[in-house]
Amino acid sequence: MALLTAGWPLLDSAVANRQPLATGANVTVGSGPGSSGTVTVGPGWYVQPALSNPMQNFVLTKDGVVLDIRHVSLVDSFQMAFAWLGMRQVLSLTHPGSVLSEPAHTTTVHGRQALTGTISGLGLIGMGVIVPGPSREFAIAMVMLAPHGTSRALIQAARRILFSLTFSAPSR
Amino acid sequence: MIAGKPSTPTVGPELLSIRLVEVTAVVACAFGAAVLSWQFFRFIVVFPSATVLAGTLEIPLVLFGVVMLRLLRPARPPAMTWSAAAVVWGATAAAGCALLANRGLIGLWAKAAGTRFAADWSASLSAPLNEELLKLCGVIMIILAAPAAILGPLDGLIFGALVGLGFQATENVTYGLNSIIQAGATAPARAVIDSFTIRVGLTALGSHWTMTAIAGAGAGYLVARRRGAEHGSVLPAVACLGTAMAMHLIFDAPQIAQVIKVSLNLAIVIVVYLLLAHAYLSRARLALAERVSAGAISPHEADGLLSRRKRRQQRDQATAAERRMLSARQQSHLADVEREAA
Repeated sequence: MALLTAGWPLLDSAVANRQPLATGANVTVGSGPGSSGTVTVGPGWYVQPALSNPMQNFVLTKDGVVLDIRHVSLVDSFQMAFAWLGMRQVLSLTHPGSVLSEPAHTTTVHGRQALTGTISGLGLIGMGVIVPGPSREFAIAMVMLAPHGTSRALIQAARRILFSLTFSAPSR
Repeated sequence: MIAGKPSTPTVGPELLSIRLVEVTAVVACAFGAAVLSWQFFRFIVVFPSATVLAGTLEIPLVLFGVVMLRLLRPARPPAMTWSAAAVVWGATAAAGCALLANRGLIGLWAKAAGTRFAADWSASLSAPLNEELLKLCGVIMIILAAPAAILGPLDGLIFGALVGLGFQATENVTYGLNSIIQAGATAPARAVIDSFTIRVGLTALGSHWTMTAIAGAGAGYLVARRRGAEHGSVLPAVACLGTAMAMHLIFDAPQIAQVIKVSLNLAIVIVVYLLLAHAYLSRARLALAERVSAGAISPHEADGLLSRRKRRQQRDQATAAERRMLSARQQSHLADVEREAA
């Protein structure tokens, strides 16, 4: 019992949890064409494989900045109205003490409507972005967190990834 | 009359080792419960109603499962205390330890083989090893702590199923809570209910209880071998554990329809149960026939001993004064017969 319970986590912790991504690599999260979103990364980003699952979420990092890009399956198309409140609750689950601002409407570089807001607290700064999928039966919820003092250039690089989100057309 | 000074009972090595096993089991259950609490405590703070709902939905499932699984034992059900201990082990020690073990191994798969491979295969390549062994430890704990509770493969199957049921209930709760996140916390209660509906309505009949039942039967074969029973052997024990792991692998494998996975596991556990129960009852009838010819039990009493209904009828027909004695006699005969049949 002890061997399994402690052995695997110890072995896991001995292997680095970061794999480099090529500049311009596309990272797709979701459950297939028609229900997935793709972001394009810039130079120097890593994926954390142990925390990532292509069907559900990807965790990307660079110099202390963490991006969590998550596919959200909405139980029906009306739930999009609660997505921001949902993100606030998920943040209070994963990062107790963090504060997510009220949402503002914005658009991605590909012209997709999105909600965005800032995250503060816990010595971190960041932002949340939610982009509804074309069917409105899913959304891509993205969180960027960075320690205070992170360079403006790095924050901008992270923003570019979040706002690069695009959706693939459903297969016919 | 002067009563002699009562002698201080000595604690024999056997009793001491049983106490040690009991303490170890309690510590393991507490550890598992602590891991689960640490992992999911924040859910009750942020999503109190949905978390309570996720837990409450499992209560009828567990109660129904315990009643049905205990009925599987011919003649009389296993001890309630140890039945409950099996469920608790599955729900706490096995589930909590599996959480850590799976996270470690799944992380390794993702790092070594990539996130796509891990998404498809890491569960089916990790859970059969980690979860089947951790659940089986519960059956082994009961064998060590209560040597009379599991005497053979059929007892092992039932206790294994009870451990699996406890594990399944905890896993249902954790999946329900995780589904809140997957739905972006837009409708926490609905996400929990949807998860429950799928896991209970679609997969429950072929889930953990079936796999651990088979692994538990294997542990029972080892106990039977140790007791010197003819049917006890190492080979079926190993085969049972291998089968349980294979059932788990197929159950978690991608691209196989759920209905096939569930039907396969259910069919395996039904066939194994029927074979074991048939063999058990044959041996029990033989043992009873020997007792009848030796004059240790009347043919009338022997005729109804293996049936709950007939034993009750015999007690109902007895006078009030005889009833208690008859009941004690039935239990005593049953205990002897079970030892030979198990």
